[in-house]
Amino acid sequence: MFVVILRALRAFIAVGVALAMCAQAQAVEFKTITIKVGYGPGGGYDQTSRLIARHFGRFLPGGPDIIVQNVPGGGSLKLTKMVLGSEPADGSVIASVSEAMSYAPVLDPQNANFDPLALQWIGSLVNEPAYCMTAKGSGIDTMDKFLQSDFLIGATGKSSVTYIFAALAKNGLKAKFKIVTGFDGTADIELAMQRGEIAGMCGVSSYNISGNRDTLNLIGTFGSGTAVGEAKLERFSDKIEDAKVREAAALIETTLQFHHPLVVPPGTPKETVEALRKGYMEMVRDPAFLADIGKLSEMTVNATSGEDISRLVSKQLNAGPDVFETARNLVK
Amino acid sequence: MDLILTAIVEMAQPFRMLMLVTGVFVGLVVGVVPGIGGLFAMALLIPMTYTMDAYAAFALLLGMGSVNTTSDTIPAILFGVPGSVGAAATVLDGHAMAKKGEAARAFGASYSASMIGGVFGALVLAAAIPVMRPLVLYLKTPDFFAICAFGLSIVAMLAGSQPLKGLAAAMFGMLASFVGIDKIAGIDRWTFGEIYLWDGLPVALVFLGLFGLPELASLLLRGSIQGNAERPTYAGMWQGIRDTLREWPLVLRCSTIGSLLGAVPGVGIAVLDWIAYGYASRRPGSGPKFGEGNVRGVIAPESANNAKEGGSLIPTIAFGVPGSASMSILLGAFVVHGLVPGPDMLGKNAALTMSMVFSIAVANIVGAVTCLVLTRPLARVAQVSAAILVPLVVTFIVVGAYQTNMSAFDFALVIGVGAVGMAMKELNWPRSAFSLGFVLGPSLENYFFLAYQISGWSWLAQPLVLILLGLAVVGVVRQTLSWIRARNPGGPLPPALPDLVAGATMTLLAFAALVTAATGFPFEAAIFPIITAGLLMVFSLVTTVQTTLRWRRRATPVLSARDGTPGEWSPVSEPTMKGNLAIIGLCLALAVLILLVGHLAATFIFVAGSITVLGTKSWRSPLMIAAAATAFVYSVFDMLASQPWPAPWLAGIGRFF
Repeated sequence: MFVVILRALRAFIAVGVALAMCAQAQAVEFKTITIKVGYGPGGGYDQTSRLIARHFGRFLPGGPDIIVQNVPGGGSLKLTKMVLGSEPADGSVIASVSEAMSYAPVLDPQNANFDPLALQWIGSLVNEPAYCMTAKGSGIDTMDKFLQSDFLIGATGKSSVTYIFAALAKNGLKAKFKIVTGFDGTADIELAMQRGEIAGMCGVSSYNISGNRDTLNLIGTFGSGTAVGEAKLERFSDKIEDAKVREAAALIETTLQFHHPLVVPPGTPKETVEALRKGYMEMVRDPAFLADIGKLSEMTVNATSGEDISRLVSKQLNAGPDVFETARNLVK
Repeated sequence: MDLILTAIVEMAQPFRMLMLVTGVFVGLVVGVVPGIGGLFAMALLIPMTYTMDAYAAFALLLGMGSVNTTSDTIPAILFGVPGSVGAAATVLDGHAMAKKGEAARAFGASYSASMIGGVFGALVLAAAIPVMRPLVLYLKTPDFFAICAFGLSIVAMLAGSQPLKGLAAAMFGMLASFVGIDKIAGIDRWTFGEIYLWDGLPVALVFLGLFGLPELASLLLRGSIQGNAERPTYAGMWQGIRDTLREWPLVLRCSTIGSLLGAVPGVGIAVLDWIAYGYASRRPGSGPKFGEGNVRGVIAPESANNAKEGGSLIPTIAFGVPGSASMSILLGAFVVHGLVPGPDMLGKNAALTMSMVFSIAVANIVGAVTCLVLTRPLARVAQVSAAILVPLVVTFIVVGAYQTNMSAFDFALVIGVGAVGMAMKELNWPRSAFSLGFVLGPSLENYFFLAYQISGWSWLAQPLVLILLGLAVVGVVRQTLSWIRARNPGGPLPPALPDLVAGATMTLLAFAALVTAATGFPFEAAIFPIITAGLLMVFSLVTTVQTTLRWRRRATPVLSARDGTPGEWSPVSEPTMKGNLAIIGLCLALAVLILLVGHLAATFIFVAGSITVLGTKSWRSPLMIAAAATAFVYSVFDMLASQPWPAPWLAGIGRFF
């Protein structure tokens, strides 16, 4: 009896392997692709993914249809874990997750059981600095006042960029402001700023500034560079004196270089990943795509290639455990 | 005036009107089918609007969003299954009316109330245009907390004949709402390591299970929706419309509740529905008791939930702060069309804003009229045999539930909550109170901590906060006094022994929650759960003691036939265990089938199989009904909402051959 089962099993495996090899030998061609979004409908990740879904197919062999599905949970941690565990690794599923996933295991020991390096990065849309800003009415208009006055900064959840960068400025530079957590989104924080309940917020991108620039003070930046049309601002991490803290801050700032990334599961064949990466970089230069994304939030596309992201992530994760420890404390 | 004319001229273009009507029809379908909400449909429609002009785009989106709350009452009234979270309150009296053969009247009342409410909400939006920004800026974070606290005090109105159980149910609901990652400390509360629970229990699934499954069990036992009640007449519909017109003060008040609360971020449709319902229940009028088929219980939530669309656009337009979840998706459409929420929408783009008012109003009218036309065939469903209806409704509940997260947990949750709902229904724990606690819990906690972080305790002295909290206290005190006065209402009580077991279980559960919260969570994350669990423990302990005394005395007749109609606040008077088990069995069978062979094949096999098992004469009809059901599931869940479904297990095995 056992022998029969064993034989049957062996046959199955043989057939399976043969099938898998067949699939590999063929030139890469995509049929239908699902972009899974690690957030609920409506946010930036969802919107950009739906736009990408409209255009990406044109740049991939086989001209696949692309559909979007929301898989919200834990700020895209749920989807990241699915990508690392259960999603098919054949290019039929692409995931849009938070760039913060690249250091999630480092910052939160609870997540130590997954390896961001195993993710295959396809590319990202935005590479730009983040800001701290305050309402004009708050009177906090210079870096000195920002670091030395008593006031409130608004943030959403503790794992959000609005909290992480506020905490980085506060802990890294021993600033006196307090962070109020629990807002629903950046629009809520801006409304509270207009009501005068809080003074400002951190970790915001140029999108948050564009609508009402004349009512805001920009205080300083995280990451390098500056937004289009803005004067050069001081960078928070440059003001940190302790070298190790500065290194930890740089580690956290790295993710600003690959905002809104796409990833595919670890086992995805090399050819498939390459085809996706190539198509992605062609897409981000396409006038029709750029016109569409330009409508969305006046966002400036400044893409980072998948290869570059992988390099950045592995560099990020090469830092010593003491730097990780410092980074953890920095964003507590 | 010019503005209104411009908006009407702009909207009069055929393509824009076509989009509006298209939106309305999509919205009606989305509302009827449990599991697909307006939220999801909005996300699907947005990419289609990229190529349209802004007027057409918003006509489509708002047309869709405005009418889901009109059609979601159809399954609520007929089957007791809320088509979306906004219809849960309508289930109580609407379904009770259908059971009495008054489905057509309930439909007439609900659609006309929806229409008036929707138009009212649109007018509120129009009237708010000049004062919108100062209005929204006037309300501060503590005011939002006070509004939620006031909303929670409505629980007192929903507590029913055994008030302690009502209060306990509300606390139980609140406790359930704390499951997931908390927003202040960012730790996970009672998720047992499951990522599924991180974002909390999905409201749509909880309401489907809580209200839908228990009603199905009794439908199965009755044999058809209205049992032996007389044949529904078309005239019932006109009677319903007349009811709404006669109750115009109620309609206007509840529309006001809906549009104003709709403007408060964090107070969603699920909340304002119950508040309107609770408000109406204070004055039941001449009809039957609330929960037993009082038409006011249909009119109140229906006018409120349609009025919210206009209200929730206020903060969205004025500040880009979404007044509801679907508004946050609508914001995506703003940016796509190069619109910046804020002063521009009230100045430069005011004509567009006015066209939104127009779209909402017209959509509500078109939606309600369409539904009214469909009333006659729908009311006939009330006579169809349960052997056919139950499998179909189970299919929509289970497939709709699975659609939420495409995870086996969806099944477990909806069936588990369904079982809890059955027990609550049977043992007189009001599900309405549970629901209000469940939907308000997170906002209460969140606004409290925001207010506290921003201004310590000083916010308690703000005038609006004082007024609202004062009103809440007065309401609760008045209700308590009336309970004390009517010490022994003499209503029918559920059987003592299961009641005792339930009370004791709840006490233990509360104790366990209290201990885990106190020992495992950091202070900010623990305080609300501790208070809630503590109150739950006290309430359920007292209930348990009361029941024990009753059990020892064995004096009260367990079931009195004094009050024939079982409703939300009187326990069922017939043995229902068989029906409950049958429904849970059916759901489990379908869930397993879906996992094994996928949702389409499963629908076919399940519908054909269960109709045959439940009893029918011919062989042909089950197959035909199953085929039609499968085609419908395909067109809704695969074509309308095109999404990838997980590969069924059998297909996974089949791949090796």
